[in-house]
Amino acid sequence: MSSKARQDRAYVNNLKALLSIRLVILEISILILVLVAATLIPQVPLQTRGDPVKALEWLENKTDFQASITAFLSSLSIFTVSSSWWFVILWLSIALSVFAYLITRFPSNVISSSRRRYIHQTYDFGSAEPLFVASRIRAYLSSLGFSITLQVSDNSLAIYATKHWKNTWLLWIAHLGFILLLLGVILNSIYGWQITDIPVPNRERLDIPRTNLSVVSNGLSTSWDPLISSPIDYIARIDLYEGHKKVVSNYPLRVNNPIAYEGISLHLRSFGQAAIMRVYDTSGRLVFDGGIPLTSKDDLGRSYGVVQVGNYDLKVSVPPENTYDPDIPAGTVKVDLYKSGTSHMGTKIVSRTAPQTIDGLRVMLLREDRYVGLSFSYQPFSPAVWLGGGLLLVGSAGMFIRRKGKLVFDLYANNDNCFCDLKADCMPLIDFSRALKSLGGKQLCTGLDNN
Amino acid sequence: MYWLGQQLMYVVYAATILNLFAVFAAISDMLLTNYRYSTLSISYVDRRHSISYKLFSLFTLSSILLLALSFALRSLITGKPAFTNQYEFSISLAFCLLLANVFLYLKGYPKLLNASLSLLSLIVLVYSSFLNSLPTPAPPALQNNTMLLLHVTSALVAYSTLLCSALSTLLKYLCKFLWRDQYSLLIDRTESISYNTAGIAFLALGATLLFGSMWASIAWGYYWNWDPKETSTLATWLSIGAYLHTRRDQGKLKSRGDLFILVSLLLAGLTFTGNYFFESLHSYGGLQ
Repeated sequence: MSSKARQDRAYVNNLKALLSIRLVILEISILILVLVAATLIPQVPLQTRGDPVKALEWLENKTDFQASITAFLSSLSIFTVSSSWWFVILWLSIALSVFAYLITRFPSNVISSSRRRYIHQTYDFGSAEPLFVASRIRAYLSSLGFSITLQVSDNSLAIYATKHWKNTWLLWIAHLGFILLLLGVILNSIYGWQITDIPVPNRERLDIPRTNLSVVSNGLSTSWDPLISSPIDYIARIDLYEGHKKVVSNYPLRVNNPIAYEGISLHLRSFGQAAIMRVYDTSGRLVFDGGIPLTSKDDLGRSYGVVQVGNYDLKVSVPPENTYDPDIPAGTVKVDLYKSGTSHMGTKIVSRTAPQTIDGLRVMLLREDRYVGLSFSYQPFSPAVWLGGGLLLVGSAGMFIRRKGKLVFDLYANNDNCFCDLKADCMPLIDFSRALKSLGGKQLCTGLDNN
Repeated sequence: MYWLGQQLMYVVYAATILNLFAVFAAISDMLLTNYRYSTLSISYVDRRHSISYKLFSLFTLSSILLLALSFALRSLITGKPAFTNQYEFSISLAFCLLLANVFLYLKGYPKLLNASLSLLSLIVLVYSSFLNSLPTPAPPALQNNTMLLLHVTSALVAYSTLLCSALSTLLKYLCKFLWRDQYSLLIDRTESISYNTAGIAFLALGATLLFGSMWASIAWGYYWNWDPKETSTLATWLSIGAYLHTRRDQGKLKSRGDLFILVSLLLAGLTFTGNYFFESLHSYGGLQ
């Protein structure tokens, strides 16, 4: 055998291996097991995965395992399954199998191909006349909308029946949709980005990272339901700037009503309290002037936020809403000052009328206000995802609604008994076998035929 | 208005009682008539129904009407499709199971399966009676009636057809175990319906995932978050897909493929009751 022939044969064998339905089932089974594990085992939120310290802190709070077990499981990416390399490889292997299917089963090739796998079954109709059985089969197939051709020879009678045979395209389209969907997801993960829940205090400007856009929140209105004591609606009034030019003015941003501008979408994610503060250093220089979003809650239910001012971390806390807190009277905030993140330098209660000095820093409270949490997203390949998903559904729906079928019934008499050989393309034979049984046929054997 | 909405639970109680009667009627039908004949006969083919089976049909239809009335009034009162918490979803699931029951009855299906679906619907209705039935306003994330309707309706169709598929697979094994291969016609029929309903479940669950992703993209800016409910739904969809692929094999893989539909059933159960086990973006289901 020449080296080219050997190469061709190896290529065909590799393709056959990839196309094996057993391999695909094995891949899907492993993927199902992994997904079940990812459902039951707490997963580090996607937004936290970029920060190892936060991720570790999250894990310690969420898992009951010993630290050594947690570390071992972490090294296997059990808590970050969707970001692990082996998970990506698993998806890629399925995609490869589907891709092999796409290139080898291009519908026009399949339709014109003389070699296809057929399911082969033989039925015994006892002493019935072949012509009588043929007429019953023909009536049944006609009622199902099959196109029928009869071929009569000396001692046998063949019925060729086809239906929606060109719908092989639908099967192909469904698999193409799956590949397109995966491709869109992969490209989005490479070229797209998202920034989640960035707090923007009222009347403050935030530059959107990676863009020359900025947003200003002009105010927030909320509606509360007394029955459930939670917000039923919140609307932020947003201005969007491109450089210094205002491109969107006073847009009523709601959770289900985002702003889309040049491929970037802005979403309202949350809202909360903010403390508008000013901080001066020992020389009287203004070192901070703005809002501190109180995005976190401590064990006592107090909302707090932290901002970095030079070498200091300024932690500002307010009492829980509608609750009396003896340590923080109404209209005041509690300010804790930390140096280099750890050393506690002092605590003071600051009000609008009484600025305080901690370790030389003069801290002023201008007012209490609100912030809105905004998410920014750039997913340039989302149309491919939606198109892929749509094709997958349309192709699958078509396959189920207009099922293709190609059948050959070969009827012949042998020893006064009427036999019927049924050949069908590899689709479930259930309906036809049932019909033949209801016509009095007794199934003798079943198998696969490659010609 | 919310008080009025809560009073609709009595309509659901009435539907539950009617459903209970339907199950009793179906069991009576099996016990009073020739057990094996009644259990395995196919409703559409066999028109010689006993009085108890006619009562079963009457109770089932009445139950469907009451649940439809409850859904319509609750949606009118709250101004949104009544799908936004676990109670409402459970009621709708029971309604869809009963509708599937009628559909299968008309298509010609073993009576035992009709009775099993009614029993399942009853279990879901009884479960819903332990949940908080007070209608509440939808949180901001759920205030998109179009996506809510598309996402949840497709999920309801998916779960009800998946339950039909899994039940018929179980029935097939029950028949094989009890009567060996004497009823090959029935076994073929259960297999056929199991395949067809799994096909619908695959489509509907795919639509659930797609519409859910679109909705998440509108609301939060990202279409997939690996939320536990999303992940388990994806596993369920893949499992149904694996089952459908195994049907194309005529060897051992085909018979082992039934395992996938049972795994899908377990996974769907995990997704449905997921709020008891894990934190999820879908925790507004009224349980957390």
